[in-house]
Amino acid sequence: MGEGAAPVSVNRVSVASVREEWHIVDRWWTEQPVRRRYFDVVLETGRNAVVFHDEERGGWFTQRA
Amino acid sequence: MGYVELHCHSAYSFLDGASLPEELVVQAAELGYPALALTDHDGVYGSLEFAHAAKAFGLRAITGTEVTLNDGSHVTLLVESPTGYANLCRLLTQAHSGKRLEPRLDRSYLEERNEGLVCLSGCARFGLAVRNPNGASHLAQVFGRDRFFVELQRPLLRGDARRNNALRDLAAALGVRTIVTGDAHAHAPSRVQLQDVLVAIKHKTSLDGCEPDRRGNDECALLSPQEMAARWPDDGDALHVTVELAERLEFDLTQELGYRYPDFSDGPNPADVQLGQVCRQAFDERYRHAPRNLRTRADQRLREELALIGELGLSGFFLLHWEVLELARAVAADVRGPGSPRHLLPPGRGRGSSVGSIVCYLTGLSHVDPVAADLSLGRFLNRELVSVPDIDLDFPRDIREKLIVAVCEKYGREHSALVASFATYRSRGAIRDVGKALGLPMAELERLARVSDGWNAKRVAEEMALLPDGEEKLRSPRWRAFRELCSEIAGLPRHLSQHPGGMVISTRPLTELVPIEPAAMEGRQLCQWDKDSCADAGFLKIDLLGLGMLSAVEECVEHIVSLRGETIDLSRIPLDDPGVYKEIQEADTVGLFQIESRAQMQSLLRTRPENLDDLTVQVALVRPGPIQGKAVHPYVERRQRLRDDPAYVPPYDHPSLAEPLRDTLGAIIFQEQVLDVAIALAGFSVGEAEGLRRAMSRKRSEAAMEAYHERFLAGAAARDVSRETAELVFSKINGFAAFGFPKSHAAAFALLAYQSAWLRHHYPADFLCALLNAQPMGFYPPASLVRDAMRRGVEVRTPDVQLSGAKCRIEGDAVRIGLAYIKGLGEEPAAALAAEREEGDPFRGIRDLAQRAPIDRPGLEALVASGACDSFGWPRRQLLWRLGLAPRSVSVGADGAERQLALPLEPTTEVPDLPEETPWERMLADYRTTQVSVGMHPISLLRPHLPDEVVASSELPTYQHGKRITVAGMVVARQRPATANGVVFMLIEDEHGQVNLIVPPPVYDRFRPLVRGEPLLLARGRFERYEQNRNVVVEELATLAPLARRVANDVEVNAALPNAHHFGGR
Repeated sequence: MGEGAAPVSVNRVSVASVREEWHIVDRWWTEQPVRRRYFDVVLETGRNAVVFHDEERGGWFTQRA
Repeated sequence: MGYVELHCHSAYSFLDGASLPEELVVQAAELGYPALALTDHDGVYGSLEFAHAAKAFGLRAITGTEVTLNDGSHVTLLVESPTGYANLCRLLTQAHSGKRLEPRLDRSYLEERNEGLVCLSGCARFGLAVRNPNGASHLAQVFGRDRFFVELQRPLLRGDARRNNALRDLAAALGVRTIVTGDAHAHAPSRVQLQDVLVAIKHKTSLDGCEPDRRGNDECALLSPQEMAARWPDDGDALHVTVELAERLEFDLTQELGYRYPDFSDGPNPADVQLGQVCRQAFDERYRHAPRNLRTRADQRLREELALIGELGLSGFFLLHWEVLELARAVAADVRGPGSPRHLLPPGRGRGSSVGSIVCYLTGLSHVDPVAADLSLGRFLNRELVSVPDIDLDFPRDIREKLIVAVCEKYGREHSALVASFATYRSRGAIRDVGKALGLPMAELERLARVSDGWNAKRVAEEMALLPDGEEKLRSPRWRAFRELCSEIAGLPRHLSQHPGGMVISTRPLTELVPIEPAAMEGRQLCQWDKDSCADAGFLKIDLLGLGMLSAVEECVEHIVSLRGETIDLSRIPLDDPGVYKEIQEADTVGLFQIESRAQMQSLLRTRPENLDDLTVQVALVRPGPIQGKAVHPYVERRQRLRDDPAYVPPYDHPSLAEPLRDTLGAIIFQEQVLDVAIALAGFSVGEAEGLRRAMSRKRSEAAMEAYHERFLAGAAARDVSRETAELVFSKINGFAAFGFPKSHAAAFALLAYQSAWLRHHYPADFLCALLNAQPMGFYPPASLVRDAMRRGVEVRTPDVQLSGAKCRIEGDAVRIGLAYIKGLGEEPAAALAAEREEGDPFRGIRDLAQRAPIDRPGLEALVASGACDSFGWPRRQLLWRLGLAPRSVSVGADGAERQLALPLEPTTEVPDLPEETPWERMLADYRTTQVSVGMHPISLLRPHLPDEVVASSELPTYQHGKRITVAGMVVARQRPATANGVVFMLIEDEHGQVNLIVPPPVYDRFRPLVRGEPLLLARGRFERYEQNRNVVVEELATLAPLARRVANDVEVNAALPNAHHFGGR
């Protein structure tokens, strides 16, 4: 998965399409600011997945769709 | 792919927009936009400011709003034509006509007044198309395909895709087009955090507490057309529609408003003739007995002025003012009542440059004969006039209140309204609001607010750095954000408020020119523009100002006439009373109009005014303009030299300035002298000079000033003035800016200053009484006014339930403090108590008072604590005990409307032996309950316990210049003028008089909390005396609070003492 760009695979399964992208920026006034770029994707397997790139800490994470 | 932003909020959406219109304009221009729409919530508060700013940056401003409909949904309205703008104003006025501060528009009105407007279906969250597609369908039918668009927004939140798909489907079903908008709430991403904070402030909660209401990311900034195109790859047409529409929306608010002030064209004669008749009639009365020379000059002046007014088309303007004055006369007669001794007084007074006009004199706008007083018309009227002149009218407060309503009634609610003003963020508000939003501890915020500068929120970062734990605080991200956000919120409008007295009146319904909404005070209504926007719109603004001193002077005259049977006509009192001038020259001016401040007093001792002309200069001298223009010291010094040597000729920067600056000894003191100097030295025309004055005034434009600077240098060079001299004079003009009085204004104020001095000199008790009743006003708190009057022999008596009225009143030669002065009682209960006593019997005791007076228990306790019940013959503690035992009638019945009377039973409990109050307790109770104390001064109670080195104020006249000195006193006033480079001036008071303290910046930094908040101080420093002026230059400060507490047996002292008055920053 590329930083900033849309994910190309999730858990080694290729992404067929990106259904939606959104951003969350919150808690910027605390010690744990949140800055995430979310993607709602359809995998090649036909399954949906929501993944996000954590722009504060780095790294990609999956979340229940 | 082009794009124009057609949905954009500024800070005039009040707590839902984080940038000023100018900031949006600059950013839009930088991003390459050809046009930009401003669509603030339910108003056009910032539209004119936006339109003018846009023009300056070559951007086309589109006027609009996002209006809230009855069901809570929003639609965006954009103006296409003048008819559309008039409809928009009417719709917004309608939206605000219901519950105040909750605008809601019934969709039927919008359907009715849709002409000239374009409707977009609203934002992503509250848009009509999202919330109520059926409603959108109705509007689509009414507005039609050309003027209704379904709005697509992509705030990058989850659900965007689904919502926009639904909206595209809706548009297709309705047969209308979609349009992309950005719903910008900030000009740049750096401002988005402030937008989050504003949401928290608006919802009166913290950032943590308003998560559902915040936007959830930082995507609400104004984006470039390229960024928008990237965000909408599949909606090329909806992007392009914005450009197409922007080209169509040609309405220019700066050009097409169509305002016309009342021109009296419906009268029997043209306005010019009507004005001539009014003036001629008054002329015959005023100049009937005038010397022939004066009459001839006045006649000539009147002819010239009437011709000029006719030429400028301003006859209707003056007739309108005359009409308002006539109305004021009727209101004054009504307010003052039949047979009132105040009938000799005019209903109000003109101020400002209008005092230089004979037409104003004859129409009653001013009460200074400009021909006799040799006042020039100059700035007020000239052939190159670019906007209508300013006329300010001062009224006693009671007349002003009624007059505002009367004007509204006369011209109708559709044709008149008060001018708005916008409460903007200054440091304390910023600290409290931003800090609360960030969830910072309230106690810490209060501590910072108390020691803060008070004005400029941009300085909060500096204030934080000076806190003992400032560095530690900044390790926390909340405090770091606080520091940045306080600076960003500085100057942003927070809410709509009311200008002190400006009213706009229009021939065409005002509701088609600017939306009108109800003011906080019932019966009043506000237009949505402030004074600058009203001026930019060319509106005729009449300033009906309430002036406390006019109220005081009127009341004083009334006392004198009704109690002493003496008739006083203030327009006929001698203007050369030596006793009055002696007090003024000795700076014995506490309580006098305009010449009572510490700075004025220091100046008076050196300038020693001898007549009304001198006073006119004096009033204008201690102002930011002359101070920054470096005019004060030269004037004072030259005046002193002239007094010592009448042959002394003051130096002028250039011989051509001798004439314009003769009266002020070569210094620029009056505002019109700026014009005269530019004309004399650089050959400016009157219009050019007026342009220079405007450039210097409210919106100082550096580019415009630089253009005038060049023109000034070139003009001076053409008259053989050296560049050095031209630069010197220009720097003085530039320093003066517009922060000074016109001579005519100063003359009007000087007259009132003299009248106040005359009344105080001859009727000190009556004057004090009237002054106390006109509070709050002036430089000194009531406690200091009372002390000063007592020092000059006036007896002041404490409030007494058996003798006091609600207001202060005269008893023989003494002043009796009124019951309304008692904190916690209130004016109405005080009046009701006095009425109960005066209509019935005197109160027989505390029990009788408790049962008869319509006052609640805390109010009765306040009466006892203030000493108002001392005449019942019991010590205050015993009175309180007895009060607790007094049975009172109670409210009964379902709605509490019926009273059950108390049984007349005697108390069965003995009053225990309670200790009497100490003098300290009594003095503190006086201050705490009434703000004034006529007994012991706190310093006289402390004096025996002060170090031996402490010098009393009465000893200062014999003290040597340069000696070390220690003084002690209660702080009366603190001043941190912007013009004094950080020096703080304090006035402290002991039992004998007042002492001036000068606190240099390093000492201020060391003792900041003491300077800003401590009521009792010990100051050590160096004594300075220059002639009559005496100051202590402070080196060290200490609080006397611990000593006072010890002496007072641990009673808390600071909280009870009166608050000092603060001026400028702190």
